[in-house]
Amino acid sequence: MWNLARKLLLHDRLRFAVAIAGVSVSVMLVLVQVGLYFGFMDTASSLIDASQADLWVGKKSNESFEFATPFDERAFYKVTSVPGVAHAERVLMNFAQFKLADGGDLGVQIVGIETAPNRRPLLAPWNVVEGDARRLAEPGAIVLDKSEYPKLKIDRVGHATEIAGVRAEVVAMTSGIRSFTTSPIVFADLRTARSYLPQLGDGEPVTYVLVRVADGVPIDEVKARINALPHLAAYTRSEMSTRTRSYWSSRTGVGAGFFTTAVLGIIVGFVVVGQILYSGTLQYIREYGTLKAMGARNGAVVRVILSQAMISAGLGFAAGAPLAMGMRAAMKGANLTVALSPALYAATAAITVVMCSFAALLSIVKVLRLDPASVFKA
Amino acid sequence: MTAALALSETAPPIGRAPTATAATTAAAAPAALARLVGVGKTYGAGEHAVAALSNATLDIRAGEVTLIEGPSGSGKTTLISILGLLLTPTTGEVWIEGQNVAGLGERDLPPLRARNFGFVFQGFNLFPALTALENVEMAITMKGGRARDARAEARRLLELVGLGPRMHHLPSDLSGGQKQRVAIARALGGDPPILVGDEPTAALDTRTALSVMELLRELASSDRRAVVVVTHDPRLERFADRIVRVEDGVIRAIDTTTHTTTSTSSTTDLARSIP
Repeated sequence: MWNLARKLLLHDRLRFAVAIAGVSVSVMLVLVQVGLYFGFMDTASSLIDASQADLWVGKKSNESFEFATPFDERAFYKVTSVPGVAHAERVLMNFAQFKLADGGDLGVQIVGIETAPNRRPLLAPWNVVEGDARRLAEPGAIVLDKSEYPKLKIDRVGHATEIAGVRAEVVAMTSGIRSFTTSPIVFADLRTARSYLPQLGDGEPVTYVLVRVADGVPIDEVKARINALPHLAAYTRSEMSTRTRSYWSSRTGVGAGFFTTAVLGIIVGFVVVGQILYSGTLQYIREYGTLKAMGARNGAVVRVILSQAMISAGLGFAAGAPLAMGMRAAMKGANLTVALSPALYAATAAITVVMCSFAALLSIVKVLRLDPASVFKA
Repeated sequence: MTAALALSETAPPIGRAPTATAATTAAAAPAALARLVGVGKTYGAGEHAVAALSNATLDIRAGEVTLIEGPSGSGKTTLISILGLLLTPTTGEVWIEGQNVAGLGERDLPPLRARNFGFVFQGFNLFPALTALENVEMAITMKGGRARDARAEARRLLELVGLGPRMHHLPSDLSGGQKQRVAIARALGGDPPILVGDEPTAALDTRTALSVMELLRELASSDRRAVVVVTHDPRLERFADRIVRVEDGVIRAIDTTTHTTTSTSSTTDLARSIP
């Protein structure tokens, strides 16, 4: 059946090529658009996902991860004293002006973390590709991502500048840490960060408290205890990540935008494959009628058409997936992450099969309704 | 040539030798493989009703070639469509395999058609993308044959119709006669006892047409198949055992003939003579 379907498809090579092109463009669009969406979402929650914290604690009124309201440091000590909390660290996040080499300023997102000489912080720069991130404990030390170098007009580790009028020196460089807000992320020690954020006042502000739960204590139990504290809300790392992704996805409409384009891709593939299969079915309608006249069951003829749809799906995916990989490589140069995971490939392959199957429906209906007696009508 | 004339036929139950009647003079007429009894077909209803066929009674017998002749619009196509279980009659009975199948729906008919009928058409209706072998093989597979056996059977049938050397050619590389031989081989797939041809020689030149008809004649004589052919071509009458003349939706006459082609050649030899 497969061989027959393949031969019927290949008989008109141009039409077959158009069908495969249609499916592959559809596959590429779905992969790239959904991959871009996941890439943006990965970026939006990357700080949370990369942390070692069991719980993220912030103000109850917070909606956005990046634009969270700071709270007084006394809340940190309250969290620390909650039974089941093995260890807690403060994180301060806010925006400051980074002095550029040409005299201009650029808004950056300061991420102040607790550094300690003999302990890895619950949140720390990762993917360090140059310099020494342990120097972050030094006053005025900052860590930046190399992808932001052009924007910040920096060309090396050791570059010194000012943030909010306070000295800052790049001590290490990371790779692949970007902010969804497009403002470059600047890691600094908590004390250094506070010096860059005078607008938050002198009350030793904190934006988040990261919690490591003691061994053997259920995380949800500790979370409930923290939630009982006034004005604070605790989320597990995955909850915090999902919350942040949902915020950016729904508030900015980025999710709808990418998925609309992906759906358009599916529609394009559907229409192209449907049209090609239908015209192919019409071309062979007398032959199908002859087979039905001679006793071929509808199921047998339908299998031929479905096999053609599956071949189109398979080859279209095989051509579209490398196209998407090429697009990912091209977009990487523009600092855009297309997150192509095995799960996304598998889901897209399944979508392609479903799309082509539905595209074959019109042809299938045509064949099912084909009166075998029609072969006698010239 | 005409041995008898009858407006309709009455015949014994299917599978048994018919009793001689005024209508059928053959003393030892072969068993009927299919029988139409008082069959009629009306299209539309009320004032717009058109009777395409009325009260047609006909036996299709093993080993016989039956020609159906008549002017355009006379009801020939309706007659063979009903005979081939492609069209449900409005009235009458259609007997196949010992049962009246006139009331069966399209859900039940394909297996009956697959077991009993092979069709050959004027336009060949071969898949242009498939070789001769694949066209025959696909028909056998779709009739329910096993894929492995289908290929061997397709080879055998193409050898039978003399197309062994060209079985791997596409229809576009075959002559009209060769295409029709492929169509005949395809019709023989699944070994149906009845072959129905709708103007199978109309698209062929005279020599090829006669050769194709001779092949069908031989398939009837040697394999004890029934061959039913709709035609306008009087030159084919020499191959017929009976000629059914249809006019205005009525079987006007059934002429029993003595066919003049008594070739002793094998089917394959006959087929090879087709250009």
